[in-house]
Amino acid sequence: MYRSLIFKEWIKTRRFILLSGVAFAALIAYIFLWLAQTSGSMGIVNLWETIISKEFSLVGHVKYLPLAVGLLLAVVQLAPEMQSKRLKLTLHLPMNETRIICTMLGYGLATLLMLFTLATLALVAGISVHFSREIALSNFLTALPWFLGGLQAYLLCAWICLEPVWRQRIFYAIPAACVLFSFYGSASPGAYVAYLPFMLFFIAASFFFSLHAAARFKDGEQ
Amino acid sequence: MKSRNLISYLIIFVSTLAFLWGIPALVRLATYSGQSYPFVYFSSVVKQFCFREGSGKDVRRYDATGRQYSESEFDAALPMFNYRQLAVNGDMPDSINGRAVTVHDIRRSSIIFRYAKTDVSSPHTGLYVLLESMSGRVDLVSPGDAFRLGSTIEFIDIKTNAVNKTKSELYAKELDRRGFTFPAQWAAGDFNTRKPYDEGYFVLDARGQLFHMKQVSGKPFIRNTGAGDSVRVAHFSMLPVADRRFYGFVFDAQGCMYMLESPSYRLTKLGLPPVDMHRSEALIMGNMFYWTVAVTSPEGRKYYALDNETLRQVDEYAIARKANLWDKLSAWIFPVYVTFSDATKYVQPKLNFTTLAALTFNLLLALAYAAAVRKRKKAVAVACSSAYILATGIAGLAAMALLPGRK
Repeated sequence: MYRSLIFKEWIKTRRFILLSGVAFAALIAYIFLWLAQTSGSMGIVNLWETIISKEFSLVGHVKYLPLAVGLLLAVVQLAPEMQSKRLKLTLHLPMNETRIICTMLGYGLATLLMLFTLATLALVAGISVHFSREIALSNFLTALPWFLGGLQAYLLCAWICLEPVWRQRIFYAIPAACVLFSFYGSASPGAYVAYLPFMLFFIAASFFFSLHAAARFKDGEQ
Repeated sequence: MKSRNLISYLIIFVSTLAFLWGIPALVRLATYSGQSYPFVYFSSVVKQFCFREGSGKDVRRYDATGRQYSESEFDAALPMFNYRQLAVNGDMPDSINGRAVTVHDIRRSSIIFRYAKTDVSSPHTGLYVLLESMSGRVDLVSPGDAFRLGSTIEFIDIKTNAVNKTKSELYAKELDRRGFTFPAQWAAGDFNTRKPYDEGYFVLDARGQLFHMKQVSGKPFIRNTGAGDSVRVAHFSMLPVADRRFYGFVFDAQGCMYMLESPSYRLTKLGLPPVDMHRSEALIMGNMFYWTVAVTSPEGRKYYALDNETLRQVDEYAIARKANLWDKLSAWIFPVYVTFSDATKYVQPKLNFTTLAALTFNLLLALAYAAAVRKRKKAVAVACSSAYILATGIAGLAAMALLPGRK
């Protein structure tokens, strides 16, 4: 049953996953071209010194892509379920409803984690060629909250998508926006280290929110 | 679903946290007005703090006794600050306080130093660039390498991104020979090449000893300043000054400020009360007679005049911060709220508590809620919800209102 459910999610999202992969590959290629051009124009020594002294980030262009991918994946995956109340059919599968929703969300999270991990590895590996491990780590720590923001955006958007009542969706969007906003505050490299436990808590907690929305759907809320 | 109630509580809790930050942040945005302080400088002529406030035609210039000044009188009262204007007008005095002065002397002895509370708490890559202090050239030149300080010192050649073992060993041996204990706690310096000269870095070792490290003619220059013997060094700010009188300022763990003299490494305490390094900011404007020090804290700004030779306090003045609409409002409607700390460059949530009076507002909210829902809900549920609103106020109420009731 799990395989069938995952296959159903794959059918819905495969084109979007491919498109997201292309978007990440294009952005990473652009970052490396931009880096090559910047180090060529200002000199690699000057670039290092600017990074060390002026908190200059090499990964700033990545900032909103994980957020957009997270939000859109939730829409692509769950909006069809809510159209004509198709979710009702899914919830009638011979499987516990909690497991069904967890499998769907787990699929989305695993997909995002795979995309984000590959993108992060490519970025860090590319940066490590010309820059020291400190600079690579600092840029990793800069991008980490943005990738976590992508996961958070997916889970919050899934919660809103699965909610059957439009008025409630608008209400839910308010705390969701507040939580997401806190992931995008400062671009100083390493600034989010102290906030990481809070981010992980928000992500872990919001995983369960969709179960509440699905239960409301099953109750027949309109 | 078995755990539906638990998930509802989780949604309410997360939403409350979000609103504890979001709602006050919006209200603050609409009601907060920053405090403006006058420009203050200690006059070496009238031996008083002189003030200038306002802008355009509404500028007021006065001293601590209340005497009003015209623009030209104000220029003459602060020759150490307005020396360029006085020189252009031909009004520059030959001597002040019985001491001959020239524009060159004033420029050479003038200092400006800023301390920001984020200076002690900012993310850092852990890499530094050590310039050549005695290259024989007028301009400072980038060395083409950077160093990391951890359990040892390692220089990285920037072009090859590889460790320069020879240079690393040279510095590691010299640091060891001078008694430096790894790992280093931090290094403070300024590798900006546009400064007049370079003094390398001041590095705090594992035992709390402050070492001076620079490169002289390609060789390491390492000295223990001895500052760690007399004070518990918490922070060092380097300041290149034209007369090379000192290296910079040492802050001890209590926030007392010391000038680290050059080249003796003697510590001279500034005649100031301790500065709260995590809440306050400081600005020093010094000249050949007096230093004007402004220390700004959330409570207001205090000004101190120090004698340039002894750094002892000769005068002080304080301006309390006026409460703005946000202060008044938050004291009544937000007994507790979340902000992201401005005392650090790290993103760090901080719980702020205002006044107990604001709990009255929460109590009213809780009572209003209880009155509104008492007929629809069980007594225990009403009591728990009201207690939650009493503790969290508007944020908790908004979070609870967010979730619809069950059919």
